[in-house]
Amino acid sequence: MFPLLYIAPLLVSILLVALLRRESQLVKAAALIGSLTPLLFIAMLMGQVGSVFSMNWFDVAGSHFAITANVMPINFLLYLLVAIIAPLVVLYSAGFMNVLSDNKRFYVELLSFEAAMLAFSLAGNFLLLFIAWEFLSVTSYLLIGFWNYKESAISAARKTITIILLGDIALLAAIAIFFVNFGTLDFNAIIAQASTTGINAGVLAALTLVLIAIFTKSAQFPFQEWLSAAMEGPTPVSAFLHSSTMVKAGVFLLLVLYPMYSGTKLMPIIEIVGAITALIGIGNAIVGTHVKKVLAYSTVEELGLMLFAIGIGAYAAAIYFFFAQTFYKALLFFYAGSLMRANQSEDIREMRDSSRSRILFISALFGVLALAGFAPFNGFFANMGLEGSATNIYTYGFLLFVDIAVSLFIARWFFIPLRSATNRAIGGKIAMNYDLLPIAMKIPIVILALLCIVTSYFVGYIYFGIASPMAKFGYPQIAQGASNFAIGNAAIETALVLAGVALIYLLYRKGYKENVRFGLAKRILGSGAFFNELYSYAANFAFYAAGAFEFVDSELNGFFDYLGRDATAFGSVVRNIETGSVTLYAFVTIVGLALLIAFVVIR
Amino acid sequence: MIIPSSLTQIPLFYYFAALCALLVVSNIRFVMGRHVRAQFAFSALFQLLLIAIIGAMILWNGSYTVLGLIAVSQFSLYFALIFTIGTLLVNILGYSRDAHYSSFAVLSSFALMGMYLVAFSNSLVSIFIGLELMSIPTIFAILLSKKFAIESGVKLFILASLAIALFAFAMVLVYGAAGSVALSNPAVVGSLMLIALALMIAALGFEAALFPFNLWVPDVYQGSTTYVTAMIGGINKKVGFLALIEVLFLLFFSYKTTFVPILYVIAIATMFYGNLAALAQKNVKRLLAYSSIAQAGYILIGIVVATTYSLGAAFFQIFAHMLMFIGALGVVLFMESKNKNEINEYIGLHKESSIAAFCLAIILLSFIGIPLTIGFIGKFLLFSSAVYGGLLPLALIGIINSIISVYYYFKIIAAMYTNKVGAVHMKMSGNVLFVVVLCTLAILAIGIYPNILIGLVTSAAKILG
Repeated sequence: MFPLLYIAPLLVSILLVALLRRESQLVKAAALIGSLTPLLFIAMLMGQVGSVFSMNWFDVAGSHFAITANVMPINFLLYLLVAIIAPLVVLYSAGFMNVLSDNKRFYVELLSFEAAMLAFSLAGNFLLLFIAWEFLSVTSYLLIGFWNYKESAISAARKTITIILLGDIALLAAIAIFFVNFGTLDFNAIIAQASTTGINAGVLAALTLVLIAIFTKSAQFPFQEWLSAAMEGPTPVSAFLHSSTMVKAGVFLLLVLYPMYSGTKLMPIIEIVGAITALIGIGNAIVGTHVKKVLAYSTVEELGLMLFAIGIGAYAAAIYFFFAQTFYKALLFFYAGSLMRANQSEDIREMRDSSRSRILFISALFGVLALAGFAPFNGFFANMGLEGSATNIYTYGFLLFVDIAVSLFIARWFFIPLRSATNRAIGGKIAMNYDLLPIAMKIPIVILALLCIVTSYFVGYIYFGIASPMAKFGYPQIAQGASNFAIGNAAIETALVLAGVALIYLLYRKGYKENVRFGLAKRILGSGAFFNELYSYAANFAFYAAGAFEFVDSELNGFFDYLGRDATAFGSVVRNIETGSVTLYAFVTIVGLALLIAFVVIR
Repeated sequence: MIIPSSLTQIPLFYYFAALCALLVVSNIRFVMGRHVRAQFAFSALFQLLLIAIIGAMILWNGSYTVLGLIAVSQFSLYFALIFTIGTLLVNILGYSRDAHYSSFAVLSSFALMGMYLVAFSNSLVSIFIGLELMSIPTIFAILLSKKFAIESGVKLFILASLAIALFAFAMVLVYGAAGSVALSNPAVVGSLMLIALALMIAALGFEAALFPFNLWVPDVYQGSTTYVTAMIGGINKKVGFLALIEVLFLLFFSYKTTFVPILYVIAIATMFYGNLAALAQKNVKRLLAYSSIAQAGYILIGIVVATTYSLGAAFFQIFAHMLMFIGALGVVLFMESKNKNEINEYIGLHKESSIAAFCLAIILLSFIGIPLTIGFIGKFLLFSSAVYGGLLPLALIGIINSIISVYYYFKIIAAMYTNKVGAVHMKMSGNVLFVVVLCTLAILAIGIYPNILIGLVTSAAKILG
């Protein structure tokens, strides 16, 4: 069966949700069932791993344009991730979105996003990839701006779409160059041809353009700021799009096109940009106080790390990290949403008593430990894999530094809201809010917490069932085996995490102090503000340019109005009706004509 | 396809001609009468029959000349088909039970005859007559329509007469140089022909709204009654394109190296002019006018590349833009009837009329070129044809322009889907609803399954070689 058909039930349910008359529980139920349907086809898709499906869409003048679905192991992996996370997000939303919202629009947009992401995961040629990529951009724009009565949400959505569209132009241009060079849009054919003919300058340019698209979508330096702006969207959206799935589309594209990049001069660029992005993410996460933005910067850091891993050729380790990150990051966002709900605030400094709900607290602890890289959670194996495939002492050192820094900021993020309330009345209110959290918000958190442990036992499957078979399609052979998981590495890893947590505990044991002495350091680390300013300069420049155009246009009009009133060649009736713009238009026509004649004659 | 023996091809054309006559005569018979409903019914019926008979002619692959004046081919039939569809849609859109519709129906049936003349033309003279037969009724339609639109009518009249004078002068020059005004000209060199080429581009660039001959477009589009605007922007402009294509590829083909660079520059200027100016607009109709200029620039890409593939793409986009423009103006007409013209008056439309908001959103997404809409296929074909034809920079400029256009289209979509306090449900009148929904469905259907239309445009483009 053509794999894209697995999305059909989801599309039907989108239609159903859209057509339901009233906002009701039925909307939520229909959305939940719809989001579950792609999971039904997992077994079938698994059986299809390794095959390519193609369906002719249209032919023009001898060129065939087809929709191609390619089920390589990594395609299967991404499909699986999206299909697992989506129902959890919908379930969480059922609890989270019960106020201030029109549910129907939300679920239609959310499910549309899921469909686009699933289509993206199966893309086997640039045509389908681009279609899905565009739908990701559009749905992301709609979802970030979902609370469109808030001015900040609208401007955040606009900022996001601007940066994402930059990437879209780059991607389209790259596709055009690929089409000229290879005469096809199929990934497999392009990769095969490139491996025989080598990479010429044009293809290298195209690969660079694709890289720009990847950097924008995956929030890499210097485009990373849109991700923190995107936190204006509802929390389930942040958990779904901006941590676990959509932002990884860029990384995924890089994984798919990896054979073309390996060996080119672009690999060090990927490595360096990834490292810079990771550092920026860490810096901002350490000083951040907005509960979701800290997580957003941590996502930026993780995406940077994925690119870094790909850049140093740690293909399998990158895939496992790609896989594992999904679960704990979605979990932490869900937890952040619960904190926001209970404390009626988005600032971690104002949050209290986060251990009030035991089940939430323990689940979140799992997520934090996984993110920090503590055994036996999946993050531990991800970090070990990365460190094991470090190519030299510098990359190894960098990875160790990232390890300790990550445990620092996530421990800080987790500890600050633990303090008990200073005021009894406020404390009572917060406690009541915790107790009132709907069950629909708790179930997904618990499931994800369990998954954080369970998926660490899939590390062998990811390495040998997903990454290794990719070699058949021209991807790198996985040479490293168990050596990645040497006991020495494990000890270092654990020690680093503990050191980070301990440091934060010492610093914040007495409660949060606003005036911790790092004034300058804070400013350097919190580079987000600087980048925001940079963006607004760029945007202002563009708008001034457009404004200048408008100005010239209207000035010209005014000038010719003036001329037209005097130099009257038309009858009095016309003059009474006319304001002179006809003279202008006729004049411009004649000037254009004169230019044309001059051109043809001079030639 | 098995051709019934009783129907050879030329008689089919006679049926076609008879239907044309019936359409015009029935309209004249009803004019000034009180039977507007009957007039509408007859117009629609004859136009539907015309669509059917043109479709039959396309299926039976006719290619012949009648009386030496009328050249029937897949190319001319394709354009006759889309002009008839467009006219039918505009007629439904403009329908109202009063004398305004009555006069509009007559005028639009005349204009349709003019369009046919251009489509089937075999010589410059019939293009000339056809263009006149189209633009004079259009001007009258502006002047006679409900709203007091004299200013825009007079503007169009003055500028159209300038354009047509240029065309006539060019025709004289061609006759002087080549000794004939037929559209299948042997290569005659000489500066007379070159000047004639320049005049032709200016004259037809006016009709097709190409920069810098398009300054009238926003004023006239905004100033005219909306269904007349739908006709000018949706159909008349396309006739200008058709005439431009005929003149360039049938008459001036040996001057290809001269006109391609000119149109290259014009295409880029037209796209940027339309898109940048549209960014600043607040009135929806004016915004659509600028956006239709930008769309003319995209269509021109196909003419600049000048391959069978690219011309097919241009033909495709011509039809695509016709559907999108008429559909969008359907919603504008509906909003105008509620006295809403500005973008910020579209806020909350999805609460007031969800069907109008949804359809307009789809249409605008199609303008942008979002996949699964006709606009995506059209732009994809145009840009890929430019890439194929070795004009990668032109394709990139087109892509950059479509990205710019996202901003102003999304501005409308965002406004429509913003919540508003105190939204009152509004009801669309039946005929407008019909046109808008039909256009939306066609946009989606062709966007998902474009093969039939691509087949049509490819066989049409093959005629031009």
